[in-house]
Amino acid sequence: MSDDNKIALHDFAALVAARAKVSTVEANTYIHQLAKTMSEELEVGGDIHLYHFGRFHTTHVDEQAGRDPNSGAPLTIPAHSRVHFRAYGALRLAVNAPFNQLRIRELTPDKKAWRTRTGFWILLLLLALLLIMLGIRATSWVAPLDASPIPTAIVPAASVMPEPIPPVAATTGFIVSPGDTLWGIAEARLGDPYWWPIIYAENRPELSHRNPDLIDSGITLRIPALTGSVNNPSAADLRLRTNGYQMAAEDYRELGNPRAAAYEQAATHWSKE
Amino acid sequence: MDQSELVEQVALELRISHAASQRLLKATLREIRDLMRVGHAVTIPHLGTFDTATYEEHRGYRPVSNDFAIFPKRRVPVFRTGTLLREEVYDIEADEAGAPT
Repeated sequence: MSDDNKIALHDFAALVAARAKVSTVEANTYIHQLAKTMSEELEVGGDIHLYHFGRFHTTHVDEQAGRDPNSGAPLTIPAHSRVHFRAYGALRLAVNAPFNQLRIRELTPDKKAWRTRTGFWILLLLLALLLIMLGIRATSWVAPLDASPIPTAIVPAASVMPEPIPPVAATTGFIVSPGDTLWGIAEARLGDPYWWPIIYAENRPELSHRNPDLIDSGITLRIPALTGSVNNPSAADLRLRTNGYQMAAEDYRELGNPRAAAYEQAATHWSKE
Repeated sequence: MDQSELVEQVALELRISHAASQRLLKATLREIRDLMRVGHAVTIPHLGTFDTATYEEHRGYRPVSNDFAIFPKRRVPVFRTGTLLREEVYDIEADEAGAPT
């Protein structure tokens, strides 16, 4: 209730005049007339609603027992009316500007608060989406490398030329068609699928992939001629097989394929014999 | 009474245009708001005083959490009715003249 923060009326009128770009006298007149009009409205019991500011209204106060502040004698205060002002949110927010950043502190911390936090759920959703995306990417990367336990010819999308039967180009040549595998070729041409590394070793310089699991369709593979047969191999054939297994093991190791160990083991086993 | 009605009535009594009345009313309200924002009190003659009150940090009941909480320091607008207006409004409901304030 100290007077040091009060604004004199003529200062206030000058501020209003500067804001509304009118003369101080006009502003002063206007403020007086405004107060008069508002008082008249309140005297007939009406409300005054001002946008983003507040609402003036009158309320009824019942008759009540009171006390004379000077003598302390009991007194009956008659029923009467009084003026109220209800500030709206915009005004409250403006007036509370220096303390707006302060928040209500609970005395007992709420352990279930995370359930009502939107940010938490959004974060969870994003994390789940990220995991799903990662899973999809991982499967699409791993599938072409490891899905085929048997070496398979890959099918280039452009060359879907139908080659219904693998034509025997020559006695020692074989044209690869989509779906052919070294395993299958070795079984068909040599009689034993386990002899496929010798075909790989023979054609290795021409192969574009250096991957025993991948051969392109359309290329012609040279089938090495065995001096003996698969069931009764000669020493040269065995050497050829050992070299083939060794080569396959090396290429598998370069690719990081765990099959390298088994091929390496077989090659060393045969070379010792 | 709505704001537009107030603007209209004041414009009529001062014989100024509605636009000028509207502009002056807005300027008045905004000036009051801005002065209260920096902690000043504004007295409008006959009507009353717009002032601010500061509440210190206090403990109180919070119905939302059904518990007690620490409420932060806060400044609120208050309006104190002028004596003239208070006495005029005092017995608007009474048939006979009421007791003096």
